[in-house]
Amino acid sequence: MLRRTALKNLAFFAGAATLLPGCLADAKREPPASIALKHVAVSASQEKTLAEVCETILPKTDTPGAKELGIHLYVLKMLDDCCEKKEQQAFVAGLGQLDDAAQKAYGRPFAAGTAPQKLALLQGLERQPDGSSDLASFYHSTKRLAVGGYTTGKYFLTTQIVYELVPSRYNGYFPVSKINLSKRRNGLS
Amino acid sequence: MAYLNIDSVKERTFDAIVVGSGMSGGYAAKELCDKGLKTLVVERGRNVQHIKDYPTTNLNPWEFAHRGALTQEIKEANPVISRCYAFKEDAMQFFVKDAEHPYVQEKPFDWIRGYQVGGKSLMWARQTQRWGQYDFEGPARDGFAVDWPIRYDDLAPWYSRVEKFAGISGHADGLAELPDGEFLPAYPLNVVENYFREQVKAQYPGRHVISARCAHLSKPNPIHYEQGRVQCQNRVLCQRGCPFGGYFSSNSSTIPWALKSGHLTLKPDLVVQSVIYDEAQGKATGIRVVDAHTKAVTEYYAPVIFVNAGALNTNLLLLNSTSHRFPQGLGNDNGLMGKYVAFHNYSAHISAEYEGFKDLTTDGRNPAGGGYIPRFRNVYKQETNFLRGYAAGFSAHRKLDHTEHPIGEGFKHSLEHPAFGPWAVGSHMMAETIPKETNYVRLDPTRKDEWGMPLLNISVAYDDNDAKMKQDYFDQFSEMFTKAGFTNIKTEDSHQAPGLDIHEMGGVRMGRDPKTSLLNAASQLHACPNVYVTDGACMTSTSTQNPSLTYMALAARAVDHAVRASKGLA
Repeated sequence: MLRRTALKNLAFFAGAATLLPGCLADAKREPPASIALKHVAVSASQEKTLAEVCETILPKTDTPGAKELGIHLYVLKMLDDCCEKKEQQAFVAGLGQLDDAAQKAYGRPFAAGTAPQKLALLQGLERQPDGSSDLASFYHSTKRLAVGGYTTGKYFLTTQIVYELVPSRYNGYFPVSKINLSKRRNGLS
Repeated sequence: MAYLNIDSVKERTFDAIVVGSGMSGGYAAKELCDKGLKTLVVERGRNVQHIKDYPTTNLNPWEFAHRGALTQEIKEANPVISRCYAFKEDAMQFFVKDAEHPYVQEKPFDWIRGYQVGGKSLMWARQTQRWGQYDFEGPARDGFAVDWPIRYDDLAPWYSRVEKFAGISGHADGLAELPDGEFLPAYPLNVVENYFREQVKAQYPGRHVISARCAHLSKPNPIHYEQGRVQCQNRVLCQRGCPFGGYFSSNSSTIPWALKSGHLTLKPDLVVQSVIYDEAQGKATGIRVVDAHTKAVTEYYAPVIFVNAGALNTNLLLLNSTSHRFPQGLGNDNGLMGKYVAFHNYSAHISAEYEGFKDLTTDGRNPAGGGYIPRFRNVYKQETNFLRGYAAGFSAHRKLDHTEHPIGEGFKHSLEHPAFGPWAVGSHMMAETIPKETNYVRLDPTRKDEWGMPLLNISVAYDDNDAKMKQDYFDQFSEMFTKAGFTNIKTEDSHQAPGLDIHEMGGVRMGRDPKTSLLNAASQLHACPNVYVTDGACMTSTSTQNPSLTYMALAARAVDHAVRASKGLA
C-alpha cells in the first residue's frame, strides 16, 4: 500500500515533466530513468542506485524512507530542471563512479551492499568537501536535494512539522517549552 | 467616416485619464472617481483581478513543481529579473521577463517591472513610512538637486487620507525624523528585536528601533471592510496576491473601489505611446495608445491627464511625447527631463547571532517583517564625511538546528525533531542617493520595441558618497551589534546594480523654478499644467523611506488640485 502511495506521489512529477526521454549521451544503451529528463542522462539502473543513496541518507524509520517517498525522483527532477550544467555534469560523473567505489570498499555494486556498508561509504563522502571530486559533488548534491525534497514534501509538511498556510497569528515572545515543532510549522517556513 | 467619428470621439472622451494602474495610478483613479469624474485608466499589461487572478495564492509548498525554485532555463533566459528577491516560482507570473520588454543598460541597471493591472503594488514589500520635514528640506540644506517646492506640512493631510484608506499598521513613536500617521495597531517587535531596541536606546541617543510600519490590516476599520478586505492572516505570502486583501494593493483596494463608483473605465493591454499636445489650445488633450496585441492605434481624450506609468516609464512616455511646441518631450523646455534619476542603495546587509533568550521563540509570522531604524545620520545637521544617510531594517528569528548527525537515521530524526539554535539577527541598509545630472535615462536614438516605443537607455550608477555611506553603515551596525552582545557578526556587500532596490525615482522632478525642474508644487508640468505626474518620476530627492506612501499622498493631493482647478478654484 505504501508503495502505491509513493507511486501516486510520483505521478505528480511524471505529469509535470516534458516528453523528451532521458536518452542524452552515455547511458550505455540501458533503459533510461523512469522520468523524462532533459539535461542529464541517467539510466534505469543508476536511478535504482540513486534511490539506495537517498534511502541511506534518509532511511525508513518510524517514518517512511526516501525510497518510499520517491525522493530520488525529486532529486533527479530538481537536478535536471534547476541546477547548473556544471553541477549536473559532476553529479552524473559521480553517480557513474559510485559502483566502482563500492566495489573497492566492499566488493559489490553500491546497491548490493548491506545498510552499514552503504552508510560507511557515504559517511566517507560526507567528510570530503563538496567539489573535491565528482563523487563528493554527487553525494553533496544528492544530500542537499534529498533533504530539500523531504522537508518541503507533502508527507513531512503534513505529518512531521506541519506547514500552516494561514497562521492567523504572531507572537514574538512564545515559550520554547510550549512549542511542539512536530505539530506545527511555527511560522519558520 | 466623419459621422462615425463624432460618436467615437465622444465615447473616447473622459473627464480624466490616468496612465498606469499601479500604486500611484490606482490611487489617483480612486480619488478622481470619488470626486465623480468619469475616469479612464489605461494599463499596458493584462488585467489581474483581485483573487480571481492569483493562481498560486493557496498552494502549499509541495504543490509547486519545483517547490518554489526557479528553473535553470528561466534563470538563464532572465538574468535581470531573476535577481529580484520576489521572482520565484510562486510569483513569477507578475514580473516582466527580460526578453519581453528590452531596455538598454548604458551602465548596469536591474529594471524590475510588473506590467499588469496593479503593477508592482501586487508584489511590493509593503513598507510604508512618511517623509518628515528633514527629508523635504534635504536638497536645500545640503545643496544638491533643487529645493522641493513643498514641505511636510503640505503633504501631511494627504498622508493621513491615504493611510486611513489603505490601512497602515504602525506605532506612534513620536519621532521628529519619522512623523507618526493614522495607524492601525503595530505588529510588535519580538523579544530579541525589543532587546536590541533597548540596547540601542541606552547606548545611542537619537537612534530608534521601532516596529516596521506596513500596509497590512492588523485590525481593519469599516472603510477596509467596505473595500472587501479583511484582517491580515499572517500568511506572508503577499507576493502571490492575497485572498484576504490583508495588504494594500491597487488590485485589492483602489481599482475595485473605483470600479464600484461607476465612474471608472479600466482598459488593460493598451500601451500609451504619447500624450497629445494641442498647439492651438496650448494644452494636452489626450493620449495615443497602441493595443498591446492587435497594435491598433487609438486616441483617448480628457481635459486632465495623470501620468503614473512607473518612474522610468513615465520619463519614457513624456520624452516620447514630442510636438512642434515640445520637440524634446512634453514639458521639457529646459532639457532636464530624464536627468537627476536616483534610487535607494540596498546593497548592504549584516547578520549575526544572539545566544540570549533561549527560552523564547516566535509563533506565527510577522507581516511587518520586524523592526525599522529611521535615519540617524546627518538628521539635524551635517556631521559625517558623506551627505544624507540611511534607514535600516532589523529582524530576529530563532534558528533551527539539525546538524547533530550528518546522515542516516539520526540525521532524519533531527530533521523531524530539530533543536532550537541561537537567534539569527539581521539588518539591511536603505540609503539615500544623491540625484545627479549624470544619472539619466534617455530615448534610444534608433531602436524601438514592437509597440513603436523607443527603447529606454538607462545610465545610472553609484558614486563615492554611496560608498562612504555604506562603509558607515557597516561600521555603525557592527558596533551596535557588538555592544548588544551579538556574535558571529558578518557584513555582506551584495554589489548589486542600481535598480534592484526597485526604488528608482526622478527624471521629472518637482521644483520651484521652471528653469531647473519639470513639475510645480501641485505636481503639474510647469509648461503643460493639465498634465500631472505623481509617481516616482516626480521625486526631487529620495530620502530613505520606502516611497510608495508618498507617491499615493502626492496623487491624492494632485487630484484635489486638479478638481479645484477645473472649477476655477486653484
